[in-house]
Amino acid sequence: MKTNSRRSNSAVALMELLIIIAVFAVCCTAGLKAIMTADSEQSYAEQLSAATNIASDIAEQYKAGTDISELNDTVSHGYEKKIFEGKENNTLHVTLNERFSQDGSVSYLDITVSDDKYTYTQITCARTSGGEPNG
Amino acid sequence: MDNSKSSRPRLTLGAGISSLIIIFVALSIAIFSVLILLTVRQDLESAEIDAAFRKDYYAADTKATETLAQLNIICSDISVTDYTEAAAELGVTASMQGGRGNTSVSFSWSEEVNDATELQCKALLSNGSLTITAWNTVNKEAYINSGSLPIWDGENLPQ
Repeated sequence: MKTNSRRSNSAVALMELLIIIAVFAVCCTAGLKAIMTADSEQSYAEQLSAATNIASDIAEQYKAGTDISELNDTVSHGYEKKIFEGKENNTLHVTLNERFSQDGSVSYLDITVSDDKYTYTQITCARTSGGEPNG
Repeated sequence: MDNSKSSRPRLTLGAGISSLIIIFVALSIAIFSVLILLTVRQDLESAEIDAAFRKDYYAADTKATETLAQLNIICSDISVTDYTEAAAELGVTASMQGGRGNTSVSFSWSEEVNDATELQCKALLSNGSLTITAWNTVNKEAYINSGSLPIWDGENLPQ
């Protein structure tokens, strides 16, 4: 009788243990998956935000009359090395392309900010070729 | 003596309590990870909205700059006598200001940034040179003052 009761107790304990392990496994799997998704989305959001700031910064400098060669210098020596120092994979690449309207009165700058995986932003800004008439 | 000892209820931490703790920990992990994910999604959404707005802004800014360049051409063209008519062809409103000998022309135009915002631009032609006087984004949705709050005006005591 005593032996039966002990057997039944150990069976219940085993069942309980198995259920606990199953619940723990399910919760941890879901949790880990959510955390990994959150990590990659956070990384994307940070990159997108930085890319937008860089593009706006360059656009404003261009509109203020900064020369394209000077902007290229800033891009190659400034943004790529300073902002994401230590994160080799997260380096943002900035591509600048200047073009002019047919009559030459407006010059455009196409700014593309990307990394190895994504192209985060593409902005086109413009300025009058003689410089902006300031108020 | 021995009997009384054996009849006393014993407090033991069995498998049950540790199971409950593990379930609590696992559920906490799951709940916190979902909360983290929701927060990150909000961050991402706001970053995407910001990026979209800036893209729209610079598209509108480019159009406005093209209009400004056209105005520059019109203003430097000696053959143009009626600025109002020439500006109207570009979708720009022009108004003459000042009197005899000191006439200036004020140009104003706007470009739509998105459904709620527009870029309003103004330029002034004075003494043969065109100067930007305003270049700012304005919310198109008008502010509605309900005026329903009974605020004391400082003169008549409320009854």
